[in-house]
Amino acid sequence: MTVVKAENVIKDYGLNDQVIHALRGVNLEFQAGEFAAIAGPSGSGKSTFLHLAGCIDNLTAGSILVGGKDTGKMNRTQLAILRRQSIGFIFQAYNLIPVLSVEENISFPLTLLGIDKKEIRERTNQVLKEVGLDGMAKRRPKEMSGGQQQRVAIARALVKKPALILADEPTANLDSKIGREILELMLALNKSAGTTFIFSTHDTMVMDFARRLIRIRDGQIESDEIKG
Amino acid sequence: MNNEQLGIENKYKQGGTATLIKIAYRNIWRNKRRTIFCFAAVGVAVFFIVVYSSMIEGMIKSINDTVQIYELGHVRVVSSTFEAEKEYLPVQYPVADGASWRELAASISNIPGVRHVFPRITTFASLQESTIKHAILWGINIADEMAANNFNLTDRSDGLIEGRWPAPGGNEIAIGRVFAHKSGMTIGDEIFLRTTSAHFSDRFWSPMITGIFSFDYIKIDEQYIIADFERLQRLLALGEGTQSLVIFADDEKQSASITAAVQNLLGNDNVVTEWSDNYWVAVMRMVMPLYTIIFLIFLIVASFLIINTVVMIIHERIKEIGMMGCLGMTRNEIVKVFFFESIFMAAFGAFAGVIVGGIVAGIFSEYPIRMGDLYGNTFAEMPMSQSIFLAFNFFILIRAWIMGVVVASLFTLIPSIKSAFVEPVEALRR
Repeated sequence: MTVVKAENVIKDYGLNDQVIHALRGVNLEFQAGEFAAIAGPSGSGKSTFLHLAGCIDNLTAGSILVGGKDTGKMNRTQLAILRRQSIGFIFQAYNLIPVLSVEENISFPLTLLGIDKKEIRERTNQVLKEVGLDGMAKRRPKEMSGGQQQRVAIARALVKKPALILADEPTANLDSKIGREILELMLALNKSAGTTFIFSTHDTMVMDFARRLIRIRDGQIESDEIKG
Repeated sequence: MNNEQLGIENKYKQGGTATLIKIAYRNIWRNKRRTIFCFAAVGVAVFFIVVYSSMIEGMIKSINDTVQIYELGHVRVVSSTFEAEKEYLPVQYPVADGASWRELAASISNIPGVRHVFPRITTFASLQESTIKHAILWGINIADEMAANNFNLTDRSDGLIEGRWPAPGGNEIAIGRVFAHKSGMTIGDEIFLRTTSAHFSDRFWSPMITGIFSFDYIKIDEQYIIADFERLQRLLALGEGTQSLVIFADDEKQSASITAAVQNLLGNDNVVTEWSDNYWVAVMRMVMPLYTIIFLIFLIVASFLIINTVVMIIHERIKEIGMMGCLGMTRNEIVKVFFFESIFMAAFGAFAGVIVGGIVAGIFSEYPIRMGDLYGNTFAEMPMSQSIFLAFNFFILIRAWIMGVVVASLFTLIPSIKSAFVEPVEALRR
């Protein structure tokens, strides 16, 4: 089943009266359960693609279908609801809500979905165990290490059982040991839950973990390699 | 395309508000100092609203009391000719052409809602052998009036501070505390005065001072000489008539219906005036809406601090806004977080203002403010006690709190809406 389908995607930015061509006719398709990395140097367009796939940015031309739905035909609210229901985000800077505890951060996407409290509690506890944060539920993000915060971010992305998780350089702020642990965790979750992960990265370790490696340069796909 | 066509569920409508409120509440404590400044801005404005509202309502009550007790009762009847020359306090134009006041009072007493009907005479007197040359003679049925009214506005007593009230029909008077102080007269002294009767003839009278009163109403305490009504009626050759009748109702709200009934009873040769038609009462009725506008301006000025704070918060938390967008929060939900935060700041600030203002109003509702000491004779022309008790009631407190919360919240809605226009992708790039 196709989770994301990008057809001839073009994205231009205006910057100081200049037009920056961030993506120049990108065609990509991601199937359910993929663990893919988009790699490339800074400014290559990898994060831009992730933002478009995550429906937080607008296309200049082309189309992106998420779960078969054409995001170009949706209004802001519909895009927000699509993100809420189907897409999880993991950021380089974790981006947790500092005033909420670990369990509140994790359960927040579920409360937005209007799921009942009992189910929220059960799913939150289960995800906490899966990411190895059992016993840290009441802590605030500032009381945790970077690696632990990233685990919370993964749990938050995962708890609503999205079709797609987009991770923008998730290991960039972590040392290599912790980075590896995080990647192993995500890979395990990918295998157990079948959730599609798409990373943007220039970290070789992430590229090694990825089961599919897409290289992008100057807004164009340079290579698309599926590893054995 | 609608959500259904896209296969998107509408669950987003169901949940999250409680969590948004929780986030907003906790957010206000992220920068305590800034939050406390916001509390203080709204709190100070609300404090002034509470105190000034209490003071104005206290003044209004004092004016209403004074007008009702000394000037008009709830309803006053005079002849139309007296009304035309009322500045001179003429006694030659009695009510109902000099008809017996007792008969008039008996008829008026039959009107539903009438509690008391009293005759009164008020006229000028020239004083001989005194440092004070002019005074106003006030003839009232002392015992009856004292039974119906608390003449002393401050202590809610009859106001006699020395001696006794003049005996019915006696050659006696009582003078005010200020009058006694200025004239140097005291109990047992005789006053030699001249006045003009209903027949335009000079009348000389030398009553003895039996009492000194203090009503805390400067006009009466300084200028009035109280005499028994019947003694003055005889002195001024009013026969059985009276210069005016004051009517007290069971409830002041019945004044209008009593006014109409009395007017109907006595005809157009008599002027029947309702207490609320008094100039100062009418002025004070207009004052409150004006003050409400001033209070709103107070709050709007105070709100600027919260507006500024919300603008700063949005700037500081731009990445969080981006992240909220990524989590799937709609524009409305993002606005709610900041709007709830503003409401919390306004509500807590207003609550602090209400508490402090309420304490001040509560204290001064028991211990009056001496307006004379504060403002000299500024308010001497107003029919008002020299001592103002601040009004203390929950309506004032709740109104001030609601005003504070509503005004501050509405004004901070504008910067809160700004947060919704932050594009998630732009926010995340910063």
